[in-house]
Amino acid sequence: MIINIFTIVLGETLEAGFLFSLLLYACYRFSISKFYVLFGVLSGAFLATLYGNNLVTISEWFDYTGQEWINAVICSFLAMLLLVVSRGLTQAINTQGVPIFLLSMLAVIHEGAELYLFFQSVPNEAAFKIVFSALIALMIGSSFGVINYFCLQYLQQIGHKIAFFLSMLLASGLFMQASQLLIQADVLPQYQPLWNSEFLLSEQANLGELLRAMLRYESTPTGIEVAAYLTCTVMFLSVLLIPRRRL
Amino acid sequence: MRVLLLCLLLSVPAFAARPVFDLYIKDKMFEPARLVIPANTKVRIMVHNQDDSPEEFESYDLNREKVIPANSKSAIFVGPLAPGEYPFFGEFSLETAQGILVAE
Repeated sequence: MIINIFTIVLGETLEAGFLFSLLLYACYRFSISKFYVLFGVLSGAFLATLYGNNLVTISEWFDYTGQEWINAVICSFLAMLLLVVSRGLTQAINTQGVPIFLLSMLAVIHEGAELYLFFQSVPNEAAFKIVFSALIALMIGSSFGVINYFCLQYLQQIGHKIAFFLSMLLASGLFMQASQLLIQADVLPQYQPLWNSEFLLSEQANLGELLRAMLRYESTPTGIEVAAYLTCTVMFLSVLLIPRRRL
Repeated sequence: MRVLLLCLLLSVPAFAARPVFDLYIKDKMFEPARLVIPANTKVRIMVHNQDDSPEEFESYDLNREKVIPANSKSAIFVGPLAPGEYPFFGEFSLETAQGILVAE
């Protein structure tokens, strides 16, 4: 149970830590107040609780596929907002605080709702051990985000290029997850996987788990998932072709 | 975009016609632990969580992940699957909630 808690909390916080390091870097680069991130986190925590408490009703929407629809919309919005912020990073366009706020809020809803529900499922008698192991996992996930943030800051001239590339990977993974959820809800058709990279890197291996949590690594993707991933990647790359503007 | 819209439209008529299979979660275990479904057919699995705590249905092989709230039910579509065995588990109760989906 303790290892389970550690794994689940770490998985959720690693992706969030990764995303928040990029958001904080964008704040630093554009001299935007970090309070946008803080307000986003607090609003997201409130909405994640609300989402968790109303999951029974939400699950019943659209013939018991409401959860997939809501999560697919959240993933798609996250990917598109990352595109907006990344465009600012590469084109030196001053991104406003609103996309940063929305990204922070949606990221917390996305990751927080599952954690909130998970903590409802753990027995009260092991509360101390559970909180302790969750805190350790949270600290590791946060530390990863902090290290990533300071690395991007330290790299100065190429920091924004790396941030753009990382945002592209993250957003493409999220867009692919949105397509996966719509397949799960029977909205998009399910086809056989295009390839199986299980022999190279299993999703159940430590590195596979890590990449799955952070970048939505998938060893057996279907054509639609690959198309969704590539669509988002092409959208990011096309941003680089838009003529540069000055701040 | 047109392809996406076409897929959405094509998926609507098939939505109600999927064979339905019931899977129960009780005392943090799946019942039946071995669920047999037809191969090469898309099916709708109705997961009924009869426990007082939420559970997450997850499967690496099926590429599925969904939280099932306490005392509620939810649908998960799987397939069409090639004949074979596909393990699934409850992520919130790894020690007990284990099952296998058999496509035959």
